[in-house]
Amino acid sequence: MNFLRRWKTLFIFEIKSMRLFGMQILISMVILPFILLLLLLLQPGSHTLNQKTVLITGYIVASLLGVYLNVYAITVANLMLPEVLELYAVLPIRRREVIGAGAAIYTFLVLPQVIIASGILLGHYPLVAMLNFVVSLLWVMFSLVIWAVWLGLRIRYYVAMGVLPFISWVMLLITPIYYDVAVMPGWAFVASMLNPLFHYVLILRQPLQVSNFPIGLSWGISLLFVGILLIGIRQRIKEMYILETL
Amino acid sequence: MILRVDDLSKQYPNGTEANRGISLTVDEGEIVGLVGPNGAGKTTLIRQILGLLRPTSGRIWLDNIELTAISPDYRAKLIRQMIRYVPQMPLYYPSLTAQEILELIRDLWQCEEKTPITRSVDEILDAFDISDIRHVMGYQMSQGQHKLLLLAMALFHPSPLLIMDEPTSMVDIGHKYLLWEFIQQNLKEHAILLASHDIGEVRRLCHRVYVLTQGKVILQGTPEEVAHSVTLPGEMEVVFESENEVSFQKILGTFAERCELAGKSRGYTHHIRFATIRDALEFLSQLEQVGKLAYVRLEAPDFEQSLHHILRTGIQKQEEA
Repeated sequence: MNFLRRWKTLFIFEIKSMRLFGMQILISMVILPFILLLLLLLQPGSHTLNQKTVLITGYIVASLLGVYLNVYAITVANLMLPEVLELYAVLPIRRREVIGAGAAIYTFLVLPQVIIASGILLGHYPLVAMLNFVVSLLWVMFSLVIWAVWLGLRIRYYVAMGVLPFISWVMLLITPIYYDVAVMPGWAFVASMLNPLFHYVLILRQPLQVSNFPIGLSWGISLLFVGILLIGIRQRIKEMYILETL
Repeated sequence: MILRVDDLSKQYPNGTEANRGISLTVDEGEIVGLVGPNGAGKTTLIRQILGLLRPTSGRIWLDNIELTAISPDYRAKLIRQMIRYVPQMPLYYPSLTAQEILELIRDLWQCEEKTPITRSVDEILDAFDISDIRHVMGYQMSQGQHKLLLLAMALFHPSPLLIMDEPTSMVDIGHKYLLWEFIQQNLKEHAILLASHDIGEVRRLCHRVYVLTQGKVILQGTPEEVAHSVTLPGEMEVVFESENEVSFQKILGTFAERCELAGKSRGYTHHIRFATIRDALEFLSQLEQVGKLAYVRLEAPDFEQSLHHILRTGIQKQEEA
């Protein structure tokens, strides 16, 4: 009970903390990705199921990227400011709890649009494929949270505010986000091998039979990334003399 | 003893020595001041006590437990239980009102310790006279109000040791006095470490003072002991109503090596700078024996001037060394 009460308090704290930034979050998370999706859906020739699936999966990944890397990672970076670390060293809040509560809240906020977007695909694919899609989706969300936490813990707050949107932009550029991997330019294809977003898009499309790319490689690379990042996060959170490394 | 720091040093990887063999103690019911110029090592010391910076050498005891010898988890828990801290920076939550922040802190403490907190949000808002910002969001508050709220957060659920880093900087004079009274009346049994540039605050609140420059404690004692540890010149304006100016000049002559004229004398009005206050008083006493003193104004160096002198000479000595 105490655990639930504690997390409820942290959730309320996080939600209230967002009030002032509500419009910014709405635009970054919902409006911009949705407008782009709408424009693409309005394009002539975008009405086959395959094309719709490409656009919708791309939209989901772009939305998740916007939420986790452009907003959530910056809140994690804020937590690592020396003066904030000083304050939290003596408050009844642990860094890992604030990070966890933030991940839960941002996931909660992005979930409706992800569910609505996924709902469009429902009925077009067999149940087993959709269940596989949900599992892939959960993995992609988890992986992006891990990326966001790692980046937030590693990049200084004021640098993060400028660098993270840039990183997101580069990742989007070398990802077949709103088109099929088959039409990806050769140079981008090579560069995208180290781009986690590229693999997340493919992982999400694979259960829906959109991509012919060898998916085992994408799963392997994404698992490797997450494993390495988790070790880094654990070390960072466990660091007691944390200002030594800032 | 609540806090004991023994021969604590901190050298950063770039070679900068922030602290050099600092030793201090803070006992229950005691307010200990840390004074020194910017970069003297106060904040580094506090960060070492809070467990955020690793001491290069030396040891820290909190409630007789050596912090540098226990596991990181236990250390973090002990620090959280034993210390409240008011940071130097006016941190704030832009989207939360004063009431919401205090409610959050209250709820989290209650979850942490599973015991109800006796002090209410209203009580703490009233105690600091900040009820008027109850529904004001952080981004709308002044920096002084942020500081007051940080103090309220720290004192909502006090613990044995309170560390305050310039708690009243940016706070208006009315609230300063209110806060000082609150500390003196309500935190009598607590141990308090107060880093401050407000010398009036240090003199008013602190039982003992440590003077730091360039990472070293150069002086310690009660504020009075610190003030009296240096002899500074005192200036006197004196109007000597006597037709016997010769007597005045004769007495002044006997003090020739201990005083100088600080300005041009006009009529019977003289401005004299004495090497020490003791000399000035001795001079007055001799004058009274030969004539009438119409007016005397003696400017004795105050605690702030003494401290300034100590710091200035301390820095010079260290630079020479």
